[in-house]
Amino acid sequence: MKTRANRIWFAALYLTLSLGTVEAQSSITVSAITGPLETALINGGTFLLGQTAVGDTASILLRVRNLSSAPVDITRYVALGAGFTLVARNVPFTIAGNASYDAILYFTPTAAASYSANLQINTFATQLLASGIGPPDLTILPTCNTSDPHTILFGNVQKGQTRTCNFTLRNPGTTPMNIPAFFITGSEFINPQPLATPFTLAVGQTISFSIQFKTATVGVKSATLSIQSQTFTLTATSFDAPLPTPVLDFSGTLTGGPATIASGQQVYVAMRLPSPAPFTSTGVLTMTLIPDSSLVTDDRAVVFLGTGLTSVPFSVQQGSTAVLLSGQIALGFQTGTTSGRIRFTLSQIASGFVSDPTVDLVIPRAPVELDLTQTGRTSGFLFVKLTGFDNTYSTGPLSFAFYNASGSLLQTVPADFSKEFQAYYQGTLTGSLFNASLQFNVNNAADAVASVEVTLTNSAGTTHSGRIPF
Amino acid sequence: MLDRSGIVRPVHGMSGNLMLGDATSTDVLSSGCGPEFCLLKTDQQLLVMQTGATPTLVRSPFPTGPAIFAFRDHTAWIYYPQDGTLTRFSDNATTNLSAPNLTGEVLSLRVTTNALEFAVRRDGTVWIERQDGALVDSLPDADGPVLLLENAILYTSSDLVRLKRTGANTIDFPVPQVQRINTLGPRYAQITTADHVYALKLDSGKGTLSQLPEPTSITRTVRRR
Repeated sequence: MKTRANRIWFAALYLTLSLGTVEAQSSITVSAITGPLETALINGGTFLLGQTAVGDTASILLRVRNLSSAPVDITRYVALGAGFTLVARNVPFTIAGNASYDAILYFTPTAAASYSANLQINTFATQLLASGIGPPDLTILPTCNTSDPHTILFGNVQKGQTRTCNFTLRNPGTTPMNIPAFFITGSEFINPQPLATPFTLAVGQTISFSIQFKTATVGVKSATLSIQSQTFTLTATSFDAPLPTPVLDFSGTLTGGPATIASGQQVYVAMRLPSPAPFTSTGVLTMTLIPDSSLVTDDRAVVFLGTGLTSVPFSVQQGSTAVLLSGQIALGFQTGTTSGRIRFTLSQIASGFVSDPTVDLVIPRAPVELDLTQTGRTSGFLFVKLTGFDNTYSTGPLSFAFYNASGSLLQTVPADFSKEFQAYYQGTLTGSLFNASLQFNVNNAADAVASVEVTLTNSAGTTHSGRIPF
Repeated sequence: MLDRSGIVRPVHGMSGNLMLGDATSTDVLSSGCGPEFCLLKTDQQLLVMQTGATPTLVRSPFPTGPAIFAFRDHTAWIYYPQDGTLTRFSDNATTNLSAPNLTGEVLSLRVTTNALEFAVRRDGTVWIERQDGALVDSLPDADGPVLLLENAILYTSSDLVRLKRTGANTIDFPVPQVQRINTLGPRYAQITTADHVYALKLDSGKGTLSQLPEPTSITRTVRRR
């Protein structure tokens, strides 16, 4: 009995020693934690990390538990294999009795392939298996495009309108692809037929989906599309609808009568929309003179009367067709004394107009307009003073017909002052107004002359002053 | 042109095509222009301005406050409502005249062939009277400023400016809220309202009313002719 007992003791001793060695290994356990899920790793076994998209990084928490009450020295803690990175304390370190130690294992595939690593913790070893898979191919169909691989442009979209972008998503790999995430953040971009996740794309499978953009406010809008582990920025610019092209009316005058579109006039311009304004807006109405004559570039009498300027603000309220100019229903302006076109342009409406709002008001060429004729005489001289304008800047040929008291023609004196007028007008900015003073040496015949009729010719015709008495 | 803030500017152009020049005087209370020159009255000074020239000071003592002008050729008559005195201005010198024998508010003054005539508001009616008080005419519907012209009277009635010519029909211009009427040279009258300034061309048959553009900096480049 004693011998047997001794043998048992020796056996027990052996077992004790042997158990001591086993305890050194089995007093730790290793598990992988992913979220709430903890999976025990088996010594000598394998552990599947699953699929990770190329370029993405997957991670798991490795937890080493010391099951004994005695401390355990960790002298080796490695994960050997391409694509795997272990972030753990440098060995050696000690895990206290009944304590645990956490480290993080990262897997970053660089190609669509199978990967493996050997995880070793002291004498505990297990093989880690993972695979890198290519991301699904996202194709953006025409009407939308990209500025970079991760930004999808919906373009400029009128406020309240819907812009739909169509896409396809394909699994380019050789294994089925799990799509755990597929969603949009941002209320102005929606997927009208959302896909339930997770779902799997079979090898080579393509699915189609669309995203619609719509907003009630103007500005740059964005959202994020998440597919698997990839994110894409969705962006669109919302703008107001274009204004209906305004109609300009030039029929009014200061005294309420019908307007004559000609030089030397004050005309009232009114503006209205052919349909109600879709939004309240303000802009600027500008008039620019385009002279017929190459002698001049501008006529600074062409201004709005209320401001003395060539530009005035306009405003229209949402739902209204009436456009106010400087706060008024109509605004007067001067047509100047230069033939050509007065171009009315509208600006500072961000959304623009339905069609080109430019209006050209033609100021026709006209014969010389005389505003004042004066005469005088001294001994031996007759004087004629003419005040007027020539909107063609082409006058010069003048003719003076002198009459006696009985109305008989005494003499006609032609004269050509074309050079003088051209020199006078060259480069002027104040229109074609002129004051012409003429002196006639008539020796002793001044008293015989009772009146004069002046004829002025320009490229538009001839003007007769009528008989002007001396 | 005398604007609402007391600034005087030359006016270039013609009816329907008017341009303002640079300011020549400030703090002006009254202005008037005849065929040869313009007179400007500030509170303390009287200035004379030949066409196209800068104003010069008339070196004589004057009553303070505004003045009412009448012109004929090279001579002007100046009435001072503040104290009821009357002077004549010619050859850059003034001569005191006997004060007119008038009762009421003198609104305007003109020179006819025979005498000076005054527009006087009294008892709610405007009377045209000679210096000695002799009655010439009346404007029973006049309710605002009055300007006596050589052969016409310009005055306001309700929201109208009325041009009453001697021996011709009265012409009405719809111009509300008139504050002042004064001469703008021999051919034009200036009508100032609360919102705008108008030029009324007087020598055409029916008169031509134009609005003066508001002064802006671009008028500084108007070329003198």
